[in-house]
Amino acid sequence: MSSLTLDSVSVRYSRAGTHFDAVHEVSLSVAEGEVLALVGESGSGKSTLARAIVGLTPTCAGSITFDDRPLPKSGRRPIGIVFQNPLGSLDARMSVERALAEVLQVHRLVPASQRRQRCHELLELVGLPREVARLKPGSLSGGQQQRVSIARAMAAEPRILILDEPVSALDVSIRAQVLRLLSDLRSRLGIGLLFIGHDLAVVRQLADRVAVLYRGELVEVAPAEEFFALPQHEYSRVLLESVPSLTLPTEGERPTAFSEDSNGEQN
Amino acid sequence: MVVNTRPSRRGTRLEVKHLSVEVHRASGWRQAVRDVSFTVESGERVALVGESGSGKSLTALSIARLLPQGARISEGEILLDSIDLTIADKKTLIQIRGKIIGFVFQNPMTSLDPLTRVGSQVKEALTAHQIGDRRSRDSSAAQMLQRTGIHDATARMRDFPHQFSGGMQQRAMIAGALAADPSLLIADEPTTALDVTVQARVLALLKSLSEERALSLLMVTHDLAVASQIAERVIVMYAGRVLEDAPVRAILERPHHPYTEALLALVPDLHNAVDLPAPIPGNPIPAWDAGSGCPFASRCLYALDECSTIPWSLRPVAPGHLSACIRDQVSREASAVSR
Repeated sequence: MSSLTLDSVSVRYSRAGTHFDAVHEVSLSVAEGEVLALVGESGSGKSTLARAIVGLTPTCAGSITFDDRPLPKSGRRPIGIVFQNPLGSLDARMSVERALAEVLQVHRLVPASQRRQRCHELLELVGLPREVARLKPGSLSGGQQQRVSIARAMAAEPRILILDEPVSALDVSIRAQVLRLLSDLRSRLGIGLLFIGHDLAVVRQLADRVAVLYRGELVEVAPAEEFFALPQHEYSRVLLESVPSLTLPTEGERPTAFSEDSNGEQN
Repeated sequence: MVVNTRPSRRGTRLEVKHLSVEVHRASGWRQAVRDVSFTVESGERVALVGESGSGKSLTALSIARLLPQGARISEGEILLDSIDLTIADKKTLIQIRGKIIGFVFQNPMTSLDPLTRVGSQVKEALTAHQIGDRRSRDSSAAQMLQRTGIHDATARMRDFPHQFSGGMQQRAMIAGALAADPSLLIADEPTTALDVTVQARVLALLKSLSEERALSLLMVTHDLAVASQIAERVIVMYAGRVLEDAPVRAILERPHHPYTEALLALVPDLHNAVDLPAPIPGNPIPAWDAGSGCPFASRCLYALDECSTIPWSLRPVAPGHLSACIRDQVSREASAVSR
């Protein structure tokens, strides 16, 4: 089975002679058909890593391969990406059909005569009615926009789909619909998902394995069951404890020290 | 109409009565908040919970009379210690803002002035209301900042907002909102933009401050799990209407309205659920597209024909527990047959 493999990947930002590794020697792999969740907080480097995988941010060390071959510098890649904010990745003036057809055209995936048909198939794949094809992104709901972003990424027939906080901007009742769609795509098409998020409760429902990124470094990678039952790294435990749950706080429970925190937060 | 059966145990601080808010759309003024009534008692922590378009933020902004352009209060009263804020003049509002009502908004980056030092912004309410002299304002602002967990607060008063992380900025906002010791804090999604570890600390902070100062808290959130961590009472809104208003324990353990039940089912359980929750079918509707019946009826698994025709109203279903669901009023057999 093919997989996306990162070997000691670093991404370095340099400014005024000083260097800072936003991602430091990260090694991981995502196989077709599996869901790897990459969790971490803002500044952990998770989005930088996602951008580096798809070539939007240069790496300074390490290798990124799919099926033991380096990713092509241009043209169609086996890796697709969906971002948090669908409106940010869709052109407001382009109809949904044009947005999808563009991908098909650029990568010469289907003959011009079959493009419309393929667009309808893609919409069907993400659970949208055909009528949506004529609409502009602005007239769609947030959940529909995110479905279009997913359809657009799927148009290039990726084997691994990177999802950078794909449901964080969505309402809770819509979030479950999109998560279900992602889970369907994995089981129907056998694609692999690299699901990037900060909400461990969401991750729990989808992931086969969990990788925790902290200050640019992977601190833990484990099968989901093990991770949630017995997190190994101190930071993983803190993350898990911070997830709000639907339980009533115990009577008289006092919030504990605020003193420990600023250090971790002063960048 | 709304019958408030809750006894006034600690004295009512805020009373919203039949509030309606309109927003301007291409098609004209449309009703986005419809006949909302609730109270917040002295020292009570209440969460307004709903998805986008539910009217929860418009309701909170109405209390502050901070509605954006293109939104207006069309009906109702908002009584704060018996002053009607909907008709209060500018002078009264200036007296009230900061001093009696404090505000915290979702995104500290857009609420803090990037060119003004954090300290000046934290003590803004003290300065505006001419509370104390310069030195005492500085020291109480630093104290408040320290209280929210910022180390070396006196020195950091001189920082600009960009020198603070997101969590620290939100804490500076909270410090500023509480500097003049208001009796009501309105917080609109105060932790939504924050990381989970920071969120947990900010929630704990808000809770302990409210307990310490008998501060009433009205928190707007889309997240029932967040609400359950901090609120004593939860008000669930949907399409501009209140669908349920109950103590947090009742909401979690005996939700009455199917929308509340559906929202609860959508909160992923870190400890158990491995299966994805069943999504609520359909999309939320704008308030103005909802008829006079229950606005959730079109997405509700238990909906009866009557749900869309019997006019919406909140009824007591248990002590202190109001719900807009009519199912147990309509005969139970009818419900069984329709399923």
